[in-house]
Amino acid sequence: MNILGISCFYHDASAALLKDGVLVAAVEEERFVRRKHCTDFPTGSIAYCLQQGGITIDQVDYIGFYEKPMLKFERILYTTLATWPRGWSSFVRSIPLWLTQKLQIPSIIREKTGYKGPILFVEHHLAHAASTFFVSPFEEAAILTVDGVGEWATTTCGLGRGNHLELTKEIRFPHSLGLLYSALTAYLGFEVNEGEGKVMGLAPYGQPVYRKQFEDVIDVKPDGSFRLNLDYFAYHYGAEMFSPKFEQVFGPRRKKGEPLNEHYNNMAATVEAVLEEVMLALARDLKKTTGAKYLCIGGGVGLSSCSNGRILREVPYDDLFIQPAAGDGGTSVGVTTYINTMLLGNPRNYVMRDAYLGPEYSDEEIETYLKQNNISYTRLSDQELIEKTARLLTEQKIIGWYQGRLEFGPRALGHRSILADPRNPKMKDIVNERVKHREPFRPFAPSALLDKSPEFFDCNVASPFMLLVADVHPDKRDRLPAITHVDGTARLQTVTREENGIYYDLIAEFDRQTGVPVIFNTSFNDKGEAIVRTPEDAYKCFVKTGMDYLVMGHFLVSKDGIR
Amino acid sequence: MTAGNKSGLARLWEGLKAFQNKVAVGLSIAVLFVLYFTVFAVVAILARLSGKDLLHPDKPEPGTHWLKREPVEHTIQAFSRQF
Repeated sequence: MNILGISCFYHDASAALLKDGVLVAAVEEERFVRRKHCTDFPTGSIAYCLQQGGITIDQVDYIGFYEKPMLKFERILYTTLATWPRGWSSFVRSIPLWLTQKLQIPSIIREKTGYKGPILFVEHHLAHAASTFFVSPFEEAAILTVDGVGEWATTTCGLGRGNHLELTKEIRFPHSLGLLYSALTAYLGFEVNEGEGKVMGLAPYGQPVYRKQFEDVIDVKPDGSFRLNLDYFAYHYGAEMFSPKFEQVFGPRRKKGEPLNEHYNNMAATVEAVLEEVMLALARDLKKTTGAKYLCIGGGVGLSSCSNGRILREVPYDDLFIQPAAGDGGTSVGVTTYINTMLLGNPRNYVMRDAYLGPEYSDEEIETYLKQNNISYTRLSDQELIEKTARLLTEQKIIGWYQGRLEFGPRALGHRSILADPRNPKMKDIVNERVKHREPFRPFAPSALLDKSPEFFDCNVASPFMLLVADVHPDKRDRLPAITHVDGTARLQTVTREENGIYYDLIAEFDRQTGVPVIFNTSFNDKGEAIVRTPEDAYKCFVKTGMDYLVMGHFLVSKDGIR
Repeated sequence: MTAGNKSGLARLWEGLKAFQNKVAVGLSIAVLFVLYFTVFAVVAILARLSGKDLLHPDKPEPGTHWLKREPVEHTIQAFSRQF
């Protein structure tokens, strides 16, 4: 049984293939077109999934799409009527797209893929729920999905048990925690659907001093349900995310590129505090009503690693599961698992223990690329590779690390990563200046050996997908200055040999050489680019940025050799 | 026909296509404008006069903002529909 999942035409287009209940491939289209958050039909991703599964499109039994387009169109029409005549600009922008693209999904899928079988449409939040619960290790878990908006729902909750999940209640558009956060992202001068992580990184520099004023912006009930005061927002009728009233109350927006100041830091801190408060209340209420020991979170807000960390610490769940592509990219996985389990009644026989679901390039392919382009390299054995790379890290070199299958989701987890020494207090600025060209306030993340991470971080569970923020122990912060954020926290990835192989061995060797089982890990891309996919992408990124070495498979390339 | 003529014709064709696109966009906007300020206007005004809140057709229970979800029909047929 082959089920292909597709997500596209909003943001983070992707495809996934479930083969006899096992997820064999999942990848975002942005990695093929090298355009972040690409919305295009995922032609490259689908071709890769079929190739990885060793099948042709004729052998696909079902294709699942990540939403019900007519329900979403209904929401657009209702919103147009409810906001008439203010919604003209939104109407004239969206309707042509709907008529030419979003209402033609079956014919577009058939035309682009040549597929002739059944196409199923899974409601957006059901896809989010299935994308987390059905690939989690839990037999029973509470389920919480929170994002910008699907068809109507923006937040849902329910319970998953065995082969069944049921979402029992929802909060509907225009009341959306994701859109509230995006509105503040726009207010702070960052790009919506891209800069939300920057707001999270900025928040610890401020204080939530506007929390009282925000009581008029969002009404939160003790059960975590919420309602926005629409007087402050414009996303439901216009091109702007927030209304003039928002600026009247909170002051003018930050223009793109304008310096940040205490006020903007405080606004970031306030919205982050509100988000965390609501997520905690939702998680607590769900715990109370379901009694479940575990919680699965889906939807773009699930990428909010600060609130995930707080839920784990402050709500008595034994563990959380959030899959690495918790946002819309992951819904392609959700539709496949939903169709397989809920509609076809097949048993769950897959647990997502790692995120390595994308394309891989063999040593032969890498060497062919290097030779064809006259790039000098050294071939190393496993042991030499690990020892040499660890030594280079201790010598303060910045290394492009390219191994195995590409990660699914926005985080680089040791297969397409840029690595450095976390002990160097200047390393954050060095990597920012020479390689990543990011805003200086944004933190970098650590990868730590799971068995030794509790010595350095206040986290006793695995965090394989870098979706939990944990405190760095106060006495260890001086040892890890490059990955410790201003508030003493870090967005942690824990690493095991079973799931991470050579990456584990590298960190273990770094530990042997330095006494620190942690390395500095950031995604293998430059500012504004998608994470690299091919050896060519990796080499081009290596050449144009200030990385010192590139390790691809068993090959070491030095910047000195190409100067 | 010389290469120069070909490129001239190609340029003319490209220009015509660009003009055609602009006309199409203009016509779409004109049609949508008429639709928005006639049909949508009437429905929106009638909805308001009758007190309907189209953004909040369902009301939550007191003390919460949660809305109960309709049970999902877990059949292939139900999921074949786009609504």
